[in-house]
Amino acid sequence: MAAASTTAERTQAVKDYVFSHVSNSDHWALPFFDVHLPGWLTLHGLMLIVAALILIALFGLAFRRNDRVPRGLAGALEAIVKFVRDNISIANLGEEDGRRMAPLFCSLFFFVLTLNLMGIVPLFATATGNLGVTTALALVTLGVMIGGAIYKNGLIGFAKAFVPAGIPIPVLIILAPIEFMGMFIKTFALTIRLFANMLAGHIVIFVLLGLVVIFGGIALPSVVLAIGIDLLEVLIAPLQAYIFTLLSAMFIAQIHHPEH
Amino acid sequence: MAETSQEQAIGTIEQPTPYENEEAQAGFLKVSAPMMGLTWLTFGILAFVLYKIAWKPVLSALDNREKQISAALDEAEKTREAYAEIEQQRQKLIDEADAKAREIVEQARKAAIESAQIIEAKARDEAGIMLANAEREITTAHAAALADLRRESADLAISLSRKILADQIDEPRSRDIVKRILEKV
Repeated sequence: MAAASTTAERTQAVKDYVFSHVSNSDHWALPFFDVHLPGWLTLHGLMLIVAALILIALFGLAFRRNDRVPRGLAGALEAIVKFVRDNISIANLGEEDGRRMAPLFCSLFFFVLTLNLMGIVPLFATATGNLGVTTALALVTLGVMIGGAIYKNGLIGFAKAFVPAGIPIPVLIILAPIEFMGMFIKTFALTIRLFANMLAGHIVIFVLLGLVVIFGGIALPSVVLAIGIDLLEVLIAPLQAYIFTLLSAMFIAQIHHPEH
Repeated sequence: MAETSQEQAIGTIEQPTPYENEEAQAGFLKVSAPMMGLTWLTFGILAFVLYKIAWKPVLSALDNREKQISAALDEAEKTREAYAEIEQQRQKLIDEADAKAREIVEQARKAAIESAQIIEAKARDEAGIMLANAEREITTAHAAALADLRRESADLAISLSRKILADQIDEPRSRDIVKRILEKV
């Protein structure tokens, strides 16, 4: 009975530890000291700023020389930029709009990618595992969806996007509100998909490692599983950044070009 | 014993701060407005800065390079077509030159044959003339030689006869005898 109670305590301790590590925090735990953050800044907020600084430094360094043919890091980054422009932006929005909106999708992709990757680097935290961050990013997409559609097609044109052509009026009465709600549901799905994917991976890793703490040496094989999940996270980080950007482009294209 | 080591393991777990406990238990499903605001601010500034230092130059460089590649490919296609045309013209010129050369050679061959025939005919004519001349000269020389021989023989016979018959026969009679003899020869 005493042993069972101890196991329960250990489980609770592991649970607290896991939650505390995936949740936002007011301090940054470094190997030898804790950095207490100012009141207006949390750990995930700090990660956003660090990610932005990393990206600015990275691109600033890579493209400091205006080489006619980029090499090394600049070449690699340019290949990704070209991929985002051609395979995400132009592929969904067409040649003209795709080229015009490519900077937005490049910014979204690299920002989400950096935030995701920082989550698997020791000392950093996963800002995309914060619902506020993913909601804000998805709302950027929603803003571009609505604002862009009104700018491009006008208010009536924007409203027509929710009224598919050739549908009988009785059906439209049901369909139009669903289409309108669909716009927000898509944004919500965008938010949850990124948040849940990034959070779940980290929780699984911590729980697998926590098994060793709860059950002792017998659970050591779970460390191998945790390493496997960690390696999977390396794949998931760019994949989720790609999915977030691709779906953003698709949703924006759907409402900007309702005729398609 | 094992229980003790597990207890020690728990001891190594960093205990969450009160803030973490509250926040964590309140749930990470909570959407924080300041966090959203900070995300928008950071993303906005980042998107602006990256647009200035990265997207604008990189995307315009990509566009320019694509245009250059496209222009270079068009140029290469034009060059290839021009080369094909030049090659066609070259082949045509070679064919014409070849035909011309064959014609010249044929004409030369014909001219040579004609010249040869003319030369041969001329040579044959000249040879005929020379042969006729030679035959005529031979005939003339033969006749002259015969006449000379007759005369020399007559002179010799006279001379010999004169020596033999010097005193026996008078000269006119001897001459007639010799003449008759000579006519028989």
